[in-house]
Amino acid sequence: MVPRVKVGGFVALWLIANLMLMVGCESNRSLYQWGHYEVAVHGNLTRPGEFPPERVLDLLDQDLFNAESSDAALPPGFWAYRGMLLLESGEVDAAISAFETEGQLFPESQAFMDFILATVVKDSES
Amino acid sequence: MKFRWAVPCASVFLLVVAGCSTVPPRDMTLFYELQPRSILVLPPVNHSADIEAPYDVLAMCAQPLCELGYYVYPVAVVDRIMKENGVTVPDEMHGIPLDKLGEVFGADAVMYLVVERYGSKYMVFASQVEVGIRASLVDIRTGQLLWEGSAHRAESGSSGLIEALVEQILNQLTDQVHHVARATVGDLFYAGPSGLPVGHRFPVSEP
Repeated sequence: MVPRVKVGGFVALWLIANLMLMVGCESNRSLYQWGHYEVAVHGNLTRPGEFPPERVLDLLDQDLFNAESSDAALPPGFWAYRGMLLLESGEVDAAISAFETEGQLFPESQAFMDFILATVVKDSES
Repeated sequence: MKFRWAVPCASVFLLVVAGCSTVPPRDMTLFYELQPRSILVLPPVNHSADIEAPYDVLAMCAQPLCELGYYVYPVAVVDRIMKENGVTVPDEMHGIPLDKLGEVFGADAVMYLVVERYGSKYMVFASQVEVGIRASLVDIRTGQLLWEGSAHRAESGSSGLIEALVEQILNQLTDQVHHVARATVGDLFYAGPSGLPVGHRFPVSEP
């Protein structure tokens, strides 16, 4: 019986946590639409076999579509990450354009995007 | 006899209360002076037994830091670039000189993370899920420490050793570690006065 009580307590805590999250969401609007971004990054980093570039790109495409139709901002790094996956899939032109978009949206990333364009992208072109 | 625990309990309580109120406020002068706008989060060094811990924690750090108003370099892209340049493990990544990191990434600050604890402990009828993370933010130009923090969470697991032998429940515990890790990352950065101050992209609230 002891474990059953524990599970009950856990469920109660979980419900309270959810309520708190809901209250939190109402008062704080996110700066960015996160969509599948974290799931994609996490999956591709920890279980690359389950999350190959094509699947991750598909998830990001859904986010892109949702962000465009709801006029929401995509998180920092989204375009650079998309660029990396496009590069892996051999879509070099689309990748270059994605890295450039990251640099335009977030000037803080410009130096890094220039580095990628100058080294990594050049390697894939040759 | 009924109240024999009252005195020790009360003194412990007082000690805890006193402990809370005497923590000196963090001196954030340097932070506000240098005011970093972009943060390079390096893959965490792992002191836990779980090999998946660093990348689990890494993937969940971007969201809170971005929502605080910083530009966060895409963690997966940073990891890939490091590996393509022959730096394959977080311990080595943490050893790269700041000027070299500045040259490649152009970041204002570097976040060094250490996963101290990550996993579950089994007792016969119960289990405990534990995550501990330590972080320090360093100015990339001067090497000065801008901020540091740590967070630790221990929660009772949803099952004991006997039930854990059933694989389904083992998976639930893995999920639970992931959720506890997410909450710990939240504690780390959103720790009120000792948390990380908001960055330049955070909207200024109107009075």
